[in-house]
Amino acid sequence: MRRKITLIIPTILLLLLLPGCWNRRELNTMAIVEAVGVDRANDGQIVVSLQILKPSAIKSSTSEKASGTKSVWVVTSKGETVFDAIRNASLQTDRKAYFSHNTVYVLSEELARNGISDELDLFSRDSEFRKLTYVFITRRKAEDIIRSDYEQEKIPAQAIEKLAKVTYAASKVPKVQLIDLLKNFASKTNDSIVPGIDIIQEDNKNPNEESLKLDGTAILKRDRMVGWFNEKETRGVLWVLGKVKSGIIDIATPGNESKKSGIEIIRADSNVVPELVDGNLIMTINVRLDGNLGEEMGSSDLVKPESFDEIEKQIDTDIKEEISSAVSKAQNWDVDIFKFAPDVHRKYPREWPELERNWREEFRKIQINIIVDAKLHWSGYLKKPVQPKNTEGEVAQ
Amino acid sequence: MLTKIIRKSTRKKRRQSSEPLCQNPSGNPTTLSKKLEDNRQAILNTFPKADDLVIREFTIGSEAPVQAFAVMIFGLFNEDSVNENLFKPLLSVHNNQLTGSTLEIIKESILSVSSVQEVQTLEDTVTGILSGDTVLFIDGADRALIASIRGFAARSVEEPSTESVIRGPREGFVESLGTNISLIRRKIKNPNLMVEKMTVGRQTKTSLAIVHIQGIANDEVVQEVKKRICRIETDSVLESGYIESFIEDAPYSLFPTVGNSEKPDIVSAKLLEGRVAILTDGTPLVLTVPYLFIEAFQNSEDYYSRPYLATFIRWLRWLAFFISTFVPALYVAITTYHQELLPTSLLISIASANEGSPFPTIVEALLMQIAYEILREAGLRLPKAVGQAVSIVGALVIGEAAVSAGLVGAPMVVVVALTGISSFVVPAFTDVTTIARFVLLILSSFSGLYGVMLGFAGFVIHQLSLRSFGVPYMSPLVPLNGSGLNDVIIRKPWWAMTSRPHSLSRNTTRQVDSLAPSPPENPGN
Repeated sequence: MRRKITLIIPTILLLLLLPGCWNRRELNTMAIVEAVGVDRANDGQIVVSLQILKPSAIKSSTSEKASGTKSVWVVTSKGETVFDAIRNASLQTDRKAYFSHNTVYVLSEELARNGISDELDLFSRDSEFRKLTYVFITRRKAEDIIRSDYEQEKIPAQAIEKLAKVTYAASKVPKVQLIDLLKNFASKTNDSIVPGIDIIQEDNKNPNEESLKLDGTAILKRDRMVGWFNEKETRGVLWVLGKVKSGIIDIATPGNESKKSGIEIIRADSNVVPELVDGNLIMTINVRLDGNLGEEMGSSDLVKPESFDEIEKQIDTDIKEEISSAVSKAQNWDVDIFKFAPDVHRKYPREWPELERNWREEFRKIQINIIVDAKLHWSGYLKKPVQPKNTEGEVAQ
Repeated sequence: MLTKIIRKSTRKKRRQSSEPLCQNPSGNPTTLSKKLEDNRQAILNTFPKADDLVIREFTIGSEAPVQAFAVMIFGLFNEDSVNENLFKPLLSVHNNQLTGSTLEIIKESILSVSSVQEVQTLEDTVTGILSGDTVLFIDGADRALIASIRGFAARSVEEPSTESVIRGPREGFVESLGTNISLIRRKIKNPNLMVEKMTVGRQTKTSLAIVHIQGIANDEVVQEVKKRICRIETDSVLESGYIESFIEDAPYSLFPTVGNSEKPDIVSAKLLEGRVAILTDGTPLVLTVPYLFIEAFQNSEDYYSRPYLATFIRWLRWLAFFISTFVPALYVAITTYHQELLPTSLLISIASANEGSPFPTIVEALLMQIAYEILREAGLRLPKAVGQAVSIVGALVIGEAAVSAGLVGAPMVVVVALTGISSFVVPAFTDVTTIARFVLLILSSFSGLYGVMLGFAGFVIHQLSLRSFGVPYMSPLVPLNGSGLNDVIIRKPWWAMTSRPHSLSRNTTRQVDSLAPSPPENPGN
């Protein structure tokens, strides 16, 4: 027994000490960072804005609703590198910044125009930063977004995170995480899209009433921003990427062309089939979608096969328009944000090395062929639209 | 009343086995003398100061009276019965009945006592006297008669306060060995139920009974139990815990390798699975061996209620066992080492609740755990009338007040409360979980989840190394036995549990396979 103990105790001590796992931190010594904004100052220095949680404020505001104290604290600091700037923040914060729960990176357009890979290096290298953090680009200074307030959530960063998570509902803005960007950087051909974020005035009379809004999509050529896509073009990109899962397609109501009707996308998916004809690439983009007559403005009775056919045709042209506008703009800017390259590589592995060498050129020449297979299935609880009836029982016009 | 009947019925079953179980080296026996006076002097010398010793001298017969005396200890014999069945017949003997050896005649035709034994040595008579028997010495005989007419104050059979059930028998063991054996006999009416008595304790001479079912229990286990008990040469055995600590397989282990129960139905069930029970005089707690890890998660009520709920409750017990062992350690590890493991919103609630608490989390955890253990112990020891005060003060102090005073964070109170309640779900392991919890807490405070994992691995390795009377402690989990799992992961209905645990018994067939009930074939008729 004694022999056993003399063996066991040193073993346990060694097992405890050798891995060097001593990293004890109490929660109240940590500054939990929820959002990071990165700007570049005029003198070329990096400006980092950290949205830091104030646990005490959250505690108090649960009991006294909206006591006025903000539950986050924003610290801005400068440095030669991002890491330097973050460590410089500790000159102002009494607790050391902790990034594992960071949910959002916001980069300014100004910075993004000059390339973002330098600024993202730390976030990809350090173990404390998560790769699943959402990335946004703003037309303003990133600091403004980090400092802005939000009505619904106590912590604005969580609001931004949730904004990213509900992008599927409209499918007009992409949802991009750090890992997506890193994957694109790692490939030789893919370019990236990053959602834009902006501050809007809720109420013109009160300049303090401001809110956050996802607005447009920044297009990155490699790591350098080249311009913005609007909502329609963005959806065109998302159709090709197969990222549209839900959303509304507006069409002119058949029989009441002055009015609009809304088609709800229930299911959608797409695939891209490249074809090499005489050295020219033709990409066939197949989009399939199941829809639902979600709303009708107007008075015609749409629940009949002919109307449904017409609506499907309209959806068809609508989507084609969205996609082709996106593709032509992307071809203008030389950015393969549709990930055409991997599709081509997969189908034509032999030809690929040749194509890859000159991919930008090839991409610009790509012809697209869009096939939309839209099916309208349901019309909700109604057949005829909601319209007051006149005495004859006819729908009043 | 019931107990009296039980006690009477047990009296008939006095030791009949002739060969002693252990060869106890007991010096040279003193034989009794033919002279009554010598015997009387010998008894008095043996008990120099025993004012509770009763020596009743009398004569048998009237014309040629035979001198005799009876010895017993006040309070240990049944006075009414002794008067009625011993003295009354003896004092009304006529001389013409006394033909031949007086002793033989008295034994065979005069005493109306069920158990009468002839002994030849002083030591045997002394043992009889101390056990509450009445010893009869007759002039001219170098032997004495031991009439077993015991009777002493004893608790009646009641529902035990531990192991209470909703469905199932309410009776529990008492402090009397005879009653306890009879309680088992009444459940298992089978001559194969073997009851072997022994005496342990140089001073206390405590009686033990080793009970097993011949043909179900493995003989090696029975022999091993006897061997280990024979080894015990100690002053006293006041409770079965003494025996347990002498016969344990792993005396240094945190885990018990000997089980105990206070209920005859549980002990009978264990006997029927092939275990051996050790009954100790003077305690209602009966030991059962071999004891396996999974037994702690089985409850008698599992077998009386329907299988679905029984299975669910069994899973719940496993869960509660893990909660009560690991949750404080995991909480400390995650909140001080691995904050990234928490969902953000949970981290925020914990961080805001802990804001302003003055102690490190581990200190908080230890303080609250110790406070809880103190309260638990106080609640156990206090008189029932004061018990309520403890729960009120305890709930207020370690719950509400500690939080609002800013001493500890509210999540820690939740953790401690959850842990405390969970530890009662598996009562057999309450002591294990308490100690293991502290060990893991300390480990987690040193090296986070790594420490918890290390501790867990250590416990598992240790458990796997244990054996209880030759049976692997973790069986049927390790070594894995498929049919054994019918009663571990789930509790199959009785008609489906066709075999006994393989690790305990070689005679594994409990019943035939085709016992599942089904509706009658012709419901119309």
